[in-house]
Parts: sequence; structure tokens; C-alpha cells
Amino acid sequence: MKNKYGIPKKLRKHFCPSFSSEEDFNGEKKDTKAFISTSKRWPAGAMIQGIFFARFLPQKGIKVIHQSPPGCIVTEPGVDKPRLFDFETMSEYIIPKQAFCNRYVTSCDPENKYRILGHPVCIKDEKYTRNEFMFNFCIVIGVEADKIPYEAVVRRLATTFTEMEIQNEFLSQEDISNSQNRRSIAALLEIIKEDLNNYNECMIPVGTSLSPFPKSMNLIIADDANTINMKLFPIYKHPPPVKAWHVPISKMKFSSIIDDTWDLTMKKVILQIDGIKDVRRIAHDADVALDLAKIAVQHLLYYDSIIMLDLFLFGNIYAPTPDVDDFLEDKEGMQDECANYVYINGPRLSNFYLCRLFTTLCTSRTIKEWLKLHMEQGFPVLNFVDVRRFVQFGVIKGLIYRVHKYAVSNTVLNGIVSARNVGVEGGEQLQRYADGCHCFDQITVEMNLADVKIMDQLRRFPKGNVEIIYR
Amino acid sequence: MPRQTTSSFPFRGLLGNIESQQQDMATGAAAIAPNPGLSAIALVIRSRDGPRFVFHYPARPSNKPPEREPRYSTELDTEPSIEEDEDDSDDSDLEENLYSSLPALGKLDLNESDGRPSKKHQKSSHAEPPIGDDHYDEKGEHVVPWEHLFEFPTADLESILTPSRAFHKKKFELSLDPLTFVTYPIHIREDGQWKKKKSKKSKKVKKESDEATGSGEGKSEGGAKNSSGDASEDGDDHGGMTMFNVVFILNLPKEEEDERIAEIYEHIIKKLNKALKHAQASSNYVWKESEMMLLMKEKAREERRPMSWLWNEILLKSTLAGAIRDVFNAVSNNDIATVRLGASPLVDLSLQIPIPAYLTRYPGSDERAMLGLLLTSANGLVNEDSSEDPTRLNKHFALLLLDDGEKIITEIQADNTELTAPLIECIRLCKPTLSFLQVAQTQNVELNSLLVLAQHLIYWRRAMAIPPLHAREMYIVSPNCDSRKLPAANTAWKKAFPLAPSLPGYLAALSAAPRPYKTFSPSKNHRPTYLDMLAWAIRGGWVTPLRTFAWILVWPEILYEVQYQLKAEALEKAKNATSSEQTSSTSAESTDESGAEKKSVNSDEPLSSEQAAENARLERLAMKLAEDAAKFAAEFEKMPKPVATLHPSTNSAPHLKALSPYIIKDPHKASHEESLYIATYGNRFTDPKIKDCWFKFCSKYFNGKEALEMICLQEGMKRKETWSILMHFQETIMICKHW
Repeated sequence: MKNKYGIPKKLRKHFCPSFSSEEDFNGEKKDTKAFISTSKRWPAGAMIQGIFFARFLPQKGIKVIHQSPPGCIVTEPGVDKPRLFDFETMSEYIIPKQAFCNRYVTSCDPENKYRILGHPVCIKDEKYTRNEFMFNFCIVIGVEADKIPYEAVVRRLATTFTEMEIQNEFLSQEDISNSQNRRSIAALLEIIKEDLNNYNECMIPVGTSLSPFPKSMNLIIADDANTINMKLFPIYKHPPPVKAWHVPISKMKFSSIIDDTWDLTMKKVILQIDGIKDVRRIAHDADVALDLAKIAVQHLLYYDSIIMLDLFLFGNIYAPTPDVDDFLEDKEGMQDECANYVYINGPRLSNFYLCRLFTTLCTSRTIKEWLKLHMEQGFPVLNFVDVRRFVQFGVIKGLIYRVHKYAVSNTVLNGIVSARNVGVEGGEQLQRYADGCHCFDQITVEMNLADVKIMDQLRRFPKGNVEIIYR
Repeated sequence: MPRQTTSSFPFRGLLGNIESQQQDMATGAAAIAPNPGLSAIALVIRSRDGPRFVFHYPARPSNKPPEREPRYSTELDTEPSIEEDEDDSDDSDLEENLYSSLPALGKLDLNESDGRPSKKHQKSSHAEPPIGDDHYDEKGEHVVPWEHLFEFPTADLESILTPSRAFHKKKFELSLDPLTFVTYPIHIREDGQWKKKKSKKSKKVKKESDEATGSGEGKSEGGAKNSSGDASEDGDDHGGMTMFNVVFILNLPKEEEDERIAEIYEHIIKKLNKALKHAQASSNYVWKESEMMLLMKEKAREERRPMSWLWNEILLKSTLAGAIRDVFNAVSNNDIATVRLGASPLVDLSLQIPIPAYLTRYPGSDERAMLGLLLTSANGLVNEDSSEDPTRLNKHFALLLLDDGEKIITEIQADNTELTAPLIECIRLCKPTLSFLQVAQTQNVELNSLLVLAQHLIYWRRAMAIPPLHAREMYIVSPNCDSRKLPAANTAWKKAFPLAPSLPGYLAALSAAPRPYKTFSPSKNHRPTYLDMLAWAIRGGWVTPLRTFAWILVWPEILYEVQYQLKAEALEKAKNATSSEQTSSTSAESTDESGAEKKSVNSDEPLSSEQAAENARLERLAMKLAEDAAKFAAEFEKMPKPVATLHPSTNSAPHLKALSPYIIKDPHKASHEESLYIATYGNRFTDPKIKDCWFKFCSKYFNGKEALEMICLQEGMKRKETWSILMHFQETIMICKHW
């Protein structure tokens, strides 16, 4: 993602859940993991319903040469299974006109049950009849299945076989030189389908032979292009931008997967992630430029190895969302999950107290005031509950949300309306934050000012000029 | 585009006018909804001469993916330095890395003929359109500008976009990276007709209107003009057209592709193609229009006319082209497309991808922001019995107009239809402070028609349903309000409420601490104005009602009392059982053991030793039972008697220490014990009225899902009275306030 900053590709590999063994997630943050699920988009096994190789034959038109499982696309003698779809209907989209070739092409059958993912290739060369050679390796998946991970596989099949066709006419001369020298395409398809369905990856050398090469075959270079290395990568959504005032919390034990090949910046940043420091602080403590730190954190976010939260302070306000009802109803065993995570300061209490704690949060109560309220009612929260973890749990589960503080200066608003730069007397420092769009967290982090100091500075604005909105 | 003056659709005039439409966009929910990613719309047919690419709009569509909201969740700020530069390159970079093992086919120079710079090709997988596309006319060779759409020659597109009969009235979806082509192809019937021939005219008219209503809000007009429709059924002037389809070309981010395609297919593509089929069947409309457009193109080609000129001409002359343009513009802007197909009879239809008027969940940190959309859990389509019915409004909700009432009325008046008068009446009668039921009762109008009219206004995005506003309720600043609009909104606010405090001041006061709304108003005389201000703020998504939810809280004292009661009952039962057992011990035994076994024992005369062992086992069991019962009774004796205190929550008797309070999750489905808890509480209320209400409210409202604010409306009680009754339950329910 950010190669220009020298973050190695290797990192990506490490963070890909399929590579990292279960141990990676069972580190010291074990209890965090208990409720921070790592369930991101990931293909569930056996999604490939069929795989086939189609060619345009000058005399016969578009034909399926090989398929797996047998009879899934076109009837085969001895196979009595119904076909997935009518090939004749779809053939137009499997090997389309030349203008649509050499790109990723997908289509759905008329029943809207299957999706055909292909990358039709057209190689132009005078040696071929009609001066062109057209083929497509297609994967068929259910319409409901997640198609995104398969795109890379289909593209990879196209490039590998294109390369092999160009190198040694692997495809076009298939019938003629189908000797012991190489694996048959039919067998390859079968292996690819089975391996991807069962292991989400496959690695098959295709150009090399088991027996010694005949002289003519020595021309084949056993490079990357003759080996099919494929893997179903879960493609994640692009992560939201990282804010300097957000706090990353790790979901896995980084120390067990980090190695010497990792990017230096990334290593420095990771060392500072402790679930308390905000990104700016991390950058500062790691002695890394803020922009680079942000990029590193975003990288971790992409692989779902961290979660971003707001800066926890006892002066913060959190309020319940309608989803708090899920907690009261104990959906997905949430109450015990929460209890395991937050009752670490003393004896474990009944889950009732957690319900009570969540429902007493409200839009005008800081955590400090909320604690005081419970103290007065005879419940010394801090003796039992780690409040920071409690809030984390609520925010991550969407039971509560942070109510941010914003300053709005009437002068600044009027300045925006009239498109003029108006200076506010006494507000030089904070004026640019006083448009209602910059929360106090941002000011705290960027100006290095505590809440009280910000309020002090805002008091220097003319009287009645600044309003504080809690949102 | 010729347009009839009369219309059965309100707001037609306004919506048909694109300029005014776009001005409106700035404020509505449409501006917040995600970009539908529509790149172009094309009309492709298959005629006697084979497949023909008839028309596409816009003339030169953009190849760029749609711009997306850069913000997430409820964030207000953006950091341009990181965002705009990085976002795009990130994506392609990511792709590049993922496919880095496959350095793009361009490397293999498969596309030499295209002469694309290979560097470019490596950078992005999106191919550039041929250069000739940008030129109106010949450049050396004669390149017809409209014979390319994106990087594809229309001659190739026309064949791939005329799917075979297998796709007749089915979804056709083809993606040519990065574009996706989605359509609903319509083929002629096998008998060469566009629809089943009906023997009777009356039947036919009926069928038409049925079909039209099936396709959205469509309606066929002027059924008298059927004669022309009949002419087309001779089948001779079809030009041999055997199929047509309007193809929608989309460019969407991969992760939301499926969802968005499903939306636009259901709400727009299917309905539009169905309506066209209807028009084709009745008056050969699609062919006539297509033929005209094809002729115009041919002529312009010969005359080397520039594309912009030709497109203007086509849009002027062809109502079908105009309809395609209108649909494109409306869908692109998330607006409602009102289309009139110039067939005879005229076909009117309105198409829209529904957009929510409010959010019911707090947007997550990885969800794209929909800033400015009201955030509330109050759903006007959920009825009293908590079932959601999209066709029925909750009668206890109120209508909040999304614009100035007088302005909406003028718009409606501009489109004089049979609905105009009732709609205006509805707007005049409904107040955001009165529920539909209250309006119906006080104004003596029929509730159902009122609800239908209100639904109509909501469908046309002129109003929304909210819980009625009341000065006693609490309101807070919505966490999803769009403060970027604060400067402009403040100006508008000042104009609307010149004497009120500034908008930021008002919001600051509301947000500082939730209080009953009336406390913000300086005097009772100000209240109506303050309620108007509130309506204004809710309409703009600035303020949302803070609602109260409750669960039944069972304190240890009650738990113990019920426990004790159950044990006493069990003991009593056991006593009775043993006394009856003594009288007929054998029969009791037989019921304990399975009857079948007993039978087999008797008939088969088993070994006596087995029988003896069995008897001994039964004896042991009986003894154990008796022992247990005695132990149970002894333990029960030791248990302290439950004492009902005035404040169960503060009862700190030692025997209650081990118990922790219990929350009843769903009183409607209460277990036996839970219903005993409820009953125990109920029996403690001495006032029969309060006792009554306790039992009435328990299962309906104390479930954490129904807002207590709705009780007075649904039960037809006074608000003040309801709250004073609820005060009696203070100790027995747990309360949570959220939007």
C-alpha cells in the first residue's frame, strides 16, 4: 500500500490471517481478543462450483476444452449430472469479441444462480489461424458468494497461461505435444479447484516435467510464470483515515510475528502501541514523522490487527446508543464477555452492575461524574471495574458512543458566510478550530492543550462569542 | 422534449426541471445518500438489421469512479493531506501489489494495436478511452465520435448487450472491468407480438393499468387512444425488432457492488424496461423512437455533424431519449425520476432508489459518513404491535414537513391533479406536534386517508414521520448533525427566527444537559415559537428526540419472596403427594415407572431375582425422595420469612446478600418466575389505578424497545398523568435514555 515509504510487502503476508497461525491471536491481549472478533471477509471453503478452460476454435467456435468437475459446463459422456448453466447462452461472454478481451470479465447466468469469472485473453500472432489465439480460464461461483478474492486468481491464471503460451505454445499445441513432459491442463484445473476450495491456496509447477527435459524443452525457464502460485486473499475495505488523536489498540501479539525484515518505521510504531497512546504521541515517542506513523497505523488497520478508539479521559462523555438493548438482552453472550474483560480490579460481580453502568451513561455526564453518581449510590465502581476497558468494550460493540465537544464562534461562522478572514480578538490560537467541526480531542492533541486550558483560551474570545456544542 | 400540461403526479413540474432540482439537492437526504455510481445509460435493440446501438446518455460519460464521501462514522473533519492524495493511489497501489505477481497483461504487449503507453497501463487497470473519442469529427480518418462508448466500439457493444432469449425478463449482469452492465432485456413473444392478444378491449385496458401500476407509480393515460395501439399490433411496422433493453452502466467500488446493483436493478432498471415494454406493446413506441434516432445518427454521420449537436437534436425530438436523460440525471443525483414516455397512451412513471429519511443506528467507524441525516430509533413504520409494515404509518406519529409548508403547497398547486386538494388539506391539518390520530379526531377526518396522504408526501420526500413534538419531552443535538453546514444554517435560522438566540447558542443550550424542552423557552408565550424552532432543527438533522426506555428490575427482596413462595408451594405439593401416595402406593409407583415395562414384567414372568432387585431399587429411590423432602422441609424452616419493605432496592437484609438484582429481558415472553416477579410488584401497589397500569405497561413498554414517551399516545392518556404514574414505578424499572 505504501511502498514509497518502504514498508515491506512481507508485512502484508504476515498479517494475512491465513498465514498467521492461531498463536498470533493468543498473545497477552487474549481477553481483548475475546470480544474483538477478527472475522473479516474471508472465503468460506468450497466456493468454486466449477472451473473450466475454453478456447475459440476457428472451425468450431467457442468450445470448452477441459472442465472440472466433469460435466459441469458441457455434457461429457458417462456423466449424468445437470450442467450448472447453459454454455451456449453464456459462451458469448466467456470468449467475447476481441474488444472485450484481455480484461477481467464476469457474467451471471439467466437463472442468476452462478457467476462466471474469467479473463478472456486474445494473443495476436501470425502463426495462428486467423492470426489470433483466444482462450479463457473461468471460475464459476455462486451468485451469493463473495467474488472479490477470486479476481486475483482469475487474473493469475490468465497471465500464467498467456506467458506459457507465448513461451512454448503450451495451450495451442496441447493436443499435439501432450506427452509425459507436462501435466495435462485437465489435471491442473482439478488440482487448482480442489486446493483453492480446501486450502485457499495452491502451488503447482506447470511447465516442468518429472522426467528429464528433452533438448527442445530446455528453452523453458522454470520461472514464476510457469508455476501457479495462487492464494485467495481476503480483500479488505480500505480503512478509514487515521486521525492523530485516535488511539490504536492491538488485536494480536505483534512481538511474535515481527521480524528483521519489517520496515523500521513500522517496528518503531508497533512498539509504542499500548492502547493508551494516541497516534501523535506514538509518533513522538517512536521518533517518527506523524505522517509516516499514520500510514503505518493505517496499514495495521487495513489488516484488522488494530482497532481505533478515541482518547480515553475521565472527563469524556459517553452516551448509550439504541444497541444498548442488545447488551441488556445479553445477545451473543455479551454480558459475560464484558464481565471477563472489565472485572479485573476486584472480585467479579454480577452482570447486573454492568447493565446498570451502561444505562446510567448519558449525554451530559462525564465519566468522572458518572463514577461519583455510583459512589453516592454505594457502588464504588473503581474497586471492581477497569473503567477504561469498560468504555472500550461499549464503544467497540457500539453500545455507547463518545459525545465530543466542539467550539463554535459566531464570528468565525460569519466569516465563513461572508468568505472573509476575520480575526477574532483573543482567539488567535484557537480560532481555526472554532467552526464546530473540530472536536476538543483534536485541539488537545494538535495544540497540546488539556480540556481546561482550551476552555481558558476560549474564554478570551469576546463574551458570548463562543458556544460549546456537545455532539 | 414535448410535455403535456396535465399530469397525475404532484411535483412533476419541479422534478422535471433539472436546474431547480440541483439547487434543492444541497439540503435533502439525497445529497447524503451514497453516489449510485451510474456512468451511463444505453438503449440497445435487435432489429431486422441485427443488433443496433441506438442511444446512450451522457454523450461522453466519465470513466472515473464516482466520488465517495471521504468521511467515516460521524466525523466532521477531513485531513486533505492524507486523504485526497492517498486514497486513490492507495487503492491502485494495493491492487498492484496484490496482482504484482501478475504484472498486468500489458507487459506482454497483447494490446499493441491500442498503442497505449505501457506505463499508464501498469499503473491502473482501467483502460483509457481511444483518443478519437474526444474529437467531434474526422481526424485524418473518419472517426464517428458516437461510435465509441468508453473504450469500446458501439459495434461490439451492441452485440454483447443484446442478450439471447434466455435472458428475457431476467437480470442480465456483465462486468467488463471496471464497468458493470446491468439490464432487464425484453424480447418479443414467440408469436411475434409484444404482449398476449386479448379478445376484448376492456380486458386489455385493465391489463395495461395493472401492468403500469406494477411498474412503480406508472399509470396509463388516455385509454381512449387505443386505436393507435391496435395498429401496432399488426406487427408489420416493428422494423423486425425482436428485442430491446435499456442498459445501465455502472462503476462502483468493489466492496459495495452487489448491494448497489441489486438496489438499482429492483427500483430502476426493471421498472423502466417493463414500462417500455408496455409502451412498445401499446404503440410500437420503442421501435418508432429507435428508428428515428438511428436515422438521425445516420444522417449526422453523413453530414459530419458534431456529436454535441446531434445529441441536442435527438434529445429535442425523441421523448425516449429525453426519458433516458431524465432517469440518468435523477438517479445520479439520488433524486426521483419522473418520466413520461410519449407513447399513446402516454406512460407516466416515477422511479427512485428509496433513501432513508433517518438513520436508526450509530454509524460505525468503518462506515462511510451520512452526515446530516437524522439519527433516531423512532421508526414511523413500526406499528403499535412492533411489527414493521412499510405500507402503514404508525398512527401515533406526526408529520414533519421537510420544507416550508407554503412552498410545498405552491409546488403541489402547480400540478393540478385530483390529489392536489386532499394533499394541501393534509399539509394544512398535520402539525408536527399532533399525531395522525389526534389530527383525525380533532379535525374530523378519516384516519386512513390521512395516513395515505401522509405516506404520499413521505414517498415524495416532502415530509417525514416523527414522534409528535412536545414541550415536556427532551431533545438533544444529534450526534450525526452536519456542523459543516452551520454557517449557512445559522443564516437561515436567523431569517426564520429573528428574535431567537443564534443557532449555535440554541444547540449549545440543548446539548449541555438534557432537560424537558419547555425549560428552554423563556416564557409560556414563547412555546409555540420554540416548538417551531424545534421542528426546524429536527428537519435539518440538528436535533433528535431523547427517548426513554425501561426494563423491569427485580430487586433481591422480590427474588427472595418469589423463591420462598415457590418453595412453600413445592413443599405443600410434596406433602399432598406423600399423603396420597400412602393411600395408593402401588398406583403411585406405577405412574413413576413406565407402564409398558410393568406390563412386560407381568406377562413374561421374568426371573424373580430380577424382580427383587427392581423392587429394592424402587424402595431405595422412595427412601431417597423422602429423605430429600425432609431435608428440603428442614431447610425451608430455617429460611427467614420474606418481609416486604417500602423500598426493596435498599433492603440490605443478610439473607438477600447472595442475590443480585435481576432484569427481565422481555416481559412479553416472561417465564413463570418472571411473571411471579411482576405479580409480586403489582400486588404491592395499593392504588388500583397504578396497579392496573403496572400490569398494562409491563409487557408492552418495559422491554427496552418501546419508548415511554409513546405510552400516553398509545394508551390515550394525559402526558402529565402518565409520567406521574411512571414515577411510582421508579424503583421497579431501570431506565436508559438514548435517541
